[in-house]
Amino acid sequence: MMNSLTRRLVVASTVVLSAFVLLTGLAVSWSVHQRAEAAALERLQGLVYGILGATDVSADGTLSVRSSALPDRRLLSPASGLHARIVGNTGGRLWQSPNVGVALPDSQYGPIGEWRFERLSLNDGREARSLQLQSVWELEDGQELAFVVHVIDAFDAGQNPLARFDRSLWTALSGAAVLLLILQWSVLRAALGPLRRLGRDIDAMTRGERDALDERLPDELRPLATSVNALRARERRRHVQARQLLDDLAHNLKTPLSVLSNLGIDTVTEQSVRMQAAIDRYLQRAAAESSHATGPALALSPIVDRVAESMQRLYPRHKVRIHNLTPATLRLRAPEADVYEVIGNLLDNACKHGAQRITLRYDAPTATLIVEDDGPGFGPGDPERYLVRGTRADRSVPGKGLGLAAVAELVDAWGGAVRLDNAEPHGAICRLTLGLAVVEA
Amino acid sequence: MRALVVEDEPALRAQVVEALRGEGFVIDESGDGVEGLHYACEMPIDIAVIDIGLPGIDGLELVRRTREAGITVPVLLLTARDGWQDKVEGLEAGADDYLAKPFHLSELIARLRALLRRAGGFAAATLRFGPLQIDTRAQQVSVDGQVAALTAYEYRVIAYLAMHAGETISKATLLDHLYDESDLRDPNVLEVFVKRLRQKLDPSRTLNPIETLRGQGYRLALTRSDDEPARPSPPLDR
Repeated sequence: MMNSLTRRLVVASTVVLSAFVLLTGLAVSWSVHQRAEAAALERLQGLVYGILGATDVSADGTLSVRSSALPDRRLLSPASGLHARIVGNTGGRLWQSPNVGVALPDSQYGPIGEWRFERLSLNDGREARSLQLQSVWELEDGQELAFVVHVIDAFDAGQNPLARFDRSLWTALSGAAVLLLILQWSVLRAALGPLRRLGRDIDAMTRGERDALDERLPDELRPLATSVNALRARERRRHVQARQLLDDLAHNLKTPLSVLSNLGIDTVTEQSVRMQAAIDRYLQRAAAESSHATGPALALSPIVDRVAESMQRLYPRHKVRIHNLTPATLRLRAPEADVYEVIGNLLDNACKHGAQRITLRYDAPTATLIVEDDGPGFGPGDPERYLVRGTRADRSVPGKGLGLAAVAELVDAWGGAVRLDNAEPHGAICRLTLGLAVVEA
Repeated sequence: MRALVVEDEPALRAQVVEALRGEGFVIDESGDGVEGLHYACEMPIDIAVIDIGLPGIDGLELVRRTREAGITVPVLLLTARDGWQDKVEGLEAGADDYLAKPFHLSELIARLRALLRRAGGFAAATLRFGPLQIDTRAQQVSVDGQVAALTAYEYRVIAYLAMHAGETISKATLLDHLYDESDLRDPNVLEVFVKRLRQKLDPSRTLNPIETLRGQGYRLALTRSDDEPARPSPPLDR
């Protein structure tokens, strides 16, 4: 999974964002809870002071609290959850709010002026905040009455407004997080778009549909595309040069070989014929090997026309009629010289064996070029044997026998195939499936 | 027949020239495209053999300019590059045939003869004029089946006249097409040849194959017979 850049980025950003949202939520929640507690404490302190304010101690030490002066009406209401009492240090209950009906926890004594604030769980399942103040009342005769003012604020855990706040907080934060994640992913996708496009371009280049990568890319990617294009161009140049050198070598040998073979010295003629054959063989192989279905697309029909014209010049007496029915839109992606080689060999083969009428047409659904002539055909036996180098169809005609075999080799290099058949009543049909070479038709 | 040979490799050129001379051709030769073009335009050639790879201007350009100058003689291109694209280019430039190196001299000669016959409008290797037959391959002339014993130059005269049957050929033209520049070119010699030809081909003076037009030249007075039947002769491999 970590092989995908996109997935890496998505996982990383999701983790970071989630952690951030979580921490933020926790921080906010904690802070709010703290504040709420502080506010509650203040409120309870206020209540304690209020109760103290409503407290009277008579001359004989009897403590009473004026109910009408109580700071909070809730102290009178049994269901309010707010209770108060004053307990003397000697243990006696000096006063309690009228709404006490439930057992409350004991009060505790401490130094004068000490506040004790705590959260409690009551027996009946409720939570409570408890605030106690150790106080003392100076009597007229100098005696002191020590007592604890104890206020308890009980509430249902579920009704806690903070719980509702928490729920809202987390809902809102989660929603925001999800929204942010979606936005983040969209941004990532958009940002990685050029990278994906580059990948698609490279694929297309490998398949031969593109010659070069589009260099309109972000700054970080452009050097990559430029380098790849430069590399490819260099390779192609080198390839072309190598083939050119091979061609040049071969052709520079041909003139001297011609001289040698015409000297009339048997051994020399024999050997030079062998050398010629070797040159032809390896040139052919090099041509087929370097013929790929790549490069700029060529229109086939004009090439057929040109070669047909040449046939008229070469075989004027035969008065061959060549019908070019290939569509003008048919284009091939193959080296130009090799396309000429295929068409030239096919038409020459037909003309040389006495065809009067040759038709070239294209069957688009099967991507097949069909060349038919009304000559003698291939005779009995399997026509495919003429696709093998060295076989000659007509022994009366001298020659190297390379024509149809060369066609087969080139078409094979383009990913296609050649089929030969006899036509009725006489003639030959060559079917070339053009494989990868076809661009459009 | 007069042939122009333009080939820059001296050994090959020498071989071709020698072979053609052996066949009775008169030769103009050059190893350079510019010089070759000059010969093509200035010399009364009947046929040209031109190598593509030449110094100066290349063979294709030479052919193009020759055609532009209105020269219509057949041209055979010699080419080391025998890919079809190159062949098509050569033919489009104006050549009539091509031969890939390396080649057999015998094949070169056969193709040149075929081109000359084509240019003369002859379909077959044997030219027929009624009882007179000229086998251009064997270089033999026969009348009513009897082969006439002609010398090389006598053959050349009758062959040239036959190739241009019906046309009046001046003595000067005949001399140009039958003799090298270095040879002794005496118009009287032609008269001797024609007289001997008449004796050998037409002893009974019934055929009168060669007509003399005073002050203009000679003409083959016979009419051509039909060409050979429909089946084309074995085509040459390319």
